[in-house]
Amino acid sequence: MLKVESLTKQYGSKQVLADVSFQVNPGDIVGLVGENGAGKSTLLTILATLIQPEQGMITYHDLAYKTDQRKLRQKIGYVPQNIAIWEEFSVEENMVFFEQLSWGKKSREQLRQLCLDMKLDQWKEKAQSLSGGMKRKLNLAISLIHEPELLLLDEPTVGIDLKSRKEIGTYLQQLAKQQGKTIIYTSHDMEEIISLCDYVYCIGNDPFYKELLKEKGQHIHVL
Amino acid sequence: MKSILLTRLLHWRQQAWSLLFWLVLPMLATCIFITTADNWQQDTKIPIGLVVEDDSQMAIQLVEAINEHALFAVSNLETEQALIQLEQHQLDSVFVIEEGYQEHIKSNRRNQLITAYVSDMSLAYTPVKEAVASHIQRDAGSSKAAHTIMQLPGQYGVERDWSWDEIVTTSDQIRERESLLHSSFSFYNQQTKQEKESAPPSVWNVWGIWASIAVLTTFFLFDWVVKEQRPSMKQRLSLLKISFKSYLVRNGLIYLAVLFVADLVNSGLLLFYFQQSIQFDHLFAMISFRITISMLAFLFALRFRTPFFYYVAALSLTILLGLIGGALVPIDGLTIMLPWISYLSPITAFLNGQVLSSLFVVLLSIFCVWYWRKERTYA
Repeated sequence: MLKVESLTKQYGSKQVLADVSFQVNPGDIVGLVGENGAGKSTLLTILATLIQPEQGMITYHDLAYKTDQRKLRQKIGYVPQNIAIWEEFSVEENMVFFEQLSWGKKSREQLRQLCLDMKLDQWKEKAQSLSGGMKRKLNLAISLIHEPELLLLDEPTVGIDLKSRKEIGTYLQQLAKQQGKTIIYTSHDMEEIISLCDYVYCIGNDPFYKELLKEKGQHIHVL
Repeated sequence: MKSILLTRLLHWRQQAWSLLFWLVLPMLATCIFITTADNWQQDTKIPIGLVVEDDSQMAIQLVEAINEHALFAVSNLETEQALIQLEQHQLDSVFVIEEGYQEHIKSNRRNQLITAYVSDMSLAYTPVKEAVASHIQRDAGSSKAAHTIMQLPGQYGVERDWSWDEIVTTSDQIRERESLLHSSFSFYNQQTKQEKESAPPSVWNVWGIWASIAVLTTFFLFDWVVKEQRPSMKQRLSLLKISFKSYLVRNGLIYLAVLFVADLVNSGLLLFYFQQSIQFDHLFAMISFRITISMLAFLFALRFRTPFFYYVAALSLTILLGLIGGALVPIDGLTIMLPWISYLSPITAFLNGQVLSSLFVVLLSIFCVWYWRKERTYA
């Protein structure tokens, strides 16, 4: 279980997260919504151990974020909002590159299967010639090489077609329901959030999101 | 480290030609630059015509001295031919060594020793004239000294006569043997390096040019630091088995090793091409130079987020380091006024054969502070 208690983060004088507390159970897919600049990406980067909060405590199972960073990184898969792949590499080379530096070892066949599971079948294709959807899939696949338990996705489907979006959504649901992975997901697409997530956390106090989700019959927690 | 090497090879496979280009560029560019500059210098010698009407020893020596001048392209001609070429502006000026040159010098007559012809396009006449006059001045001085010496036995009642020819020949021999212009003096108990007997093959400093281009190529090769620390990739790389800093440093070490091998190959080829010799302690200076400029490029690249601005800044810094390093133009005047300038360029340390330079120590300190500084992020 991921437990976040009284989390506070500020950039200079700007308070981004104020006293945020929540928890996520294994196998849950949790949506994070909020207006631009509300702190969704900041929260995900804190949960990914990439930046430190000013205050608060985070634990994942029995691991504390302050002291067990190295062990936590083995369990975390983070998909950054901007695609982080080597454009000049093929899909294969991208997967091999990150596998070499990853926590877990996988054969080329296993890496290829991981891509195929996500309907990414252009194994020898250069990343720069892939469509936006395929690049997003590769971006996600790289984060899954070491089979993380906790998956943090920062707008993983932004700017891609409906088919690829659907395929990514289906795959994530499989990961959560069949493999028990915990997924925290940010998006501005309410339809996607509603269809994919078990429950939604709204960051900030914007009534727009609360009203919208209430209309759709989605249970919402305000952080 | 094996994993890092494998991942770096994946990058290099994509950039094989570009990598090879940057690795051999210092050697290639040095060869091309110096060969072109020397050829250009050869082409830009001042064409002068020389007509010799006197066959005395002194006249022959004067002709040899003018012929050997590094900035003159001398054509030995007949007067008529020389004047035609002068009219056609093929020659800048014409000098005629008049018959009886030595006799005139010997009898201390300093007029009409040489006749000079110029045209309205004789742009270099004044410096050429001065150079020729300096040789005549030397001959005249030598003759005057001979006359003075010849009078000494009479003044002091010594029964020994030296002829004018004997004295002039002996003085020439002494001047050549002692080579006073090239003698180096040192303080007692202080050792100085022996001056090379042979003249340098080029007016350009081969190692200075090579070092300046090596600085540039090192900056350009270290652009991977800028590219691989773009925010999204930095986040991804930070979550890997090794820390992001460790990832950068290990890759930096791989680059350092490859660059050092390239330096050795480049140096070997330069030594062969320019027929130069290198001392063993220069190898250590080269290792130190390579580490210094790699650290400089690495730390410099860390400050940039956009490759374009990095390239512009790197190019500017290279020119600055080349200039203050004294590799491109002599800066003796500046270093006398501001001695600390020479400490700022790794090129100066390399050219002086320094193994441990002050810049190396400063960069190493900055590197250590960067590496062990606690970040505000977990990464």
